[in-house]
Amino acid sequence: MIRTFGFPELLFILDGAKWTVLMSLAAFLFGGLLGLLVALARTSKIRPARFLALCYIQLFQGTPLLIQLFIVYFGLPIIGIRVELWLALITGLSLHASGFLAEIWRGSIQAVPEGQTEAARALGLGYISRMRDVVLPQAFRISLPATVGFMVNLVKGTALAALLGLTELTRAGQLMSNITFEPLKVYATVGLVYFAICLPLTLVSSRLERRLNARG
Amino acid sequence: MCITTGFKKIVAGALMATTFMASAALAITPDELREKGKAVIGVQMDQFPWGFIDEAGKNEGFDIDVAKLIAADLGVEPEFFRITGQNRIPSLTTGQVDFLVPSMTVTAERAQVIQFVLPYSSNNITVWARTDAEITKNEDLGGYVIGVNRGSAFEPILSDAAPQGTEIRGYEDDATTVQALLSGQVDAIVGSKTYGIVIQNTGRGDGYEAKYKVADNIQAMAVRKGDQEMLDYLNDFVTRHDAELDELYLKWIGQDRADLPTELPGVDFTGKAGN
Repeated sequence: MIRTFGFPELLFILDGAKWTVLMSLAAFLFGGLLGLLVALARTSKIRPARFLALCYIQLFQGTPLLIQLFIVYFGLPIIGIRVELWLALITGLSLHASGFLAEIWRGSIQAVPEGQTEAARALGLGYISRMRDVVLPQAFRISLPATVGFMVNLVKGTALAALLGLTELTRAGQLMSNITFEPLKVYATVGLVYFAICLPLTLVSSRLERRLNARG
Repeated sequence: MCITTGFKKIVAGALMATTFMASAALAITPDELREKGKAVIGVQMDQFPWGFIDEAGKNEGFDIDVAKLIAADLGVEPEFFRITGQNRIPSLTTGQVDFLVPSMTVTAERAQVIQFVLPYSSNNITVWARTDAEITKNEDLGGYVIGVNRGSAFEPILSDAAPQGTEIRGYEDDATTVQALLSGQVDAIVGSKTYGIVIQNTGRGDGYEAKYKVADNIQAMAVRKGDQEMLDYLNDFVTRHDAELDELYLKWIGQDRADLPTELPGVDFTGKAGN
């Protein structure tokens, strides 16, 4: 009944990897959108918006991702909202990502020389155009290494979903380890799959960085 | 090691907190399940041969067969929800699953937050060690390094049984615990009698043997506190399906199912004592 680690087991692990990739993409997409709004609020001229954004960032940076996931998944049912496991995970991961990305991007926006904003204003550009056409493209280039660094961490952070019971990459590995009783082979494979997911991120990032710098 | 221990404590703390926050406002009844046509059953899939993933990636094992039997008896489709040793209790108390059919040991502590059904299986807690290790009783454990599945019911039993100062090492799950014995990181491990099936399967069964039984490990399904109709139904199920359960136990565990107690200190199987 106990099996050796072979092709069906590898397939099961890759099936788990599908969830890891999906969760990472969703968290990055939604977390990125939300994070951009918070970063803009954090750098705006409106004092209450700045303050609220600061609180938001502190809250999500100062508490462990695991606790955030627990609160979304086990906390919401207590006040009567039943959430599907994957939905809870994507919500939790997105909130977490938005806090960190907001702070990374806040720094990048502020690193764009003040003169750029002043010049844009002198040209009569409004806030939206000033941000979209002048400040954010420059901030994007500055933020790239830190953003990709965070993305790679986020991919690995999705492993916490295993503790809530989603059969993602890490959990798939645990389950296969418990039927093959060959933990070394199983976890080496799991590690390689994480590596294979993260490697393209860093490769694309360094290419993008070179291109943007050459242009800039 | 230290980091993982600290991390585990955070996990355990957070889980306890959510467990206590949860209210019993999520009651279900067998009739409601029949109406819905399905039951969400929490099962543990990292406990060979109680629950595991087969080659097609499907859930399989003793608990799965029992859960299917319950679903057939209720006349509903079973929907399996894979739980872990850490999240099974909050999964139940917060209503993510309708009831649990896990290989979960009945303890008085757990009985304070969830409602156990009458026991349906047992599993002797056994010391497994190298053939040449001289271990025949609890006192002998002190001279050896002992491994155990951390967070399982075996861990507190080992802490109680072993003499003060025994070197105990915790591992993540059954697989890594058995691996620790086979790779010589520990001299002996304390856990399920079904570890023997695993050790035999590695082809190195000759070097290891079961030393002695540390304690009985009585296992039961669980429902939320206050789900009286579910409890009554499952208590009745366990009683009515004695023969089928015997058969399934023999099929998966390879031994006869032992006589199971209907009373345990600190545990109320009727759901009526505290109310």
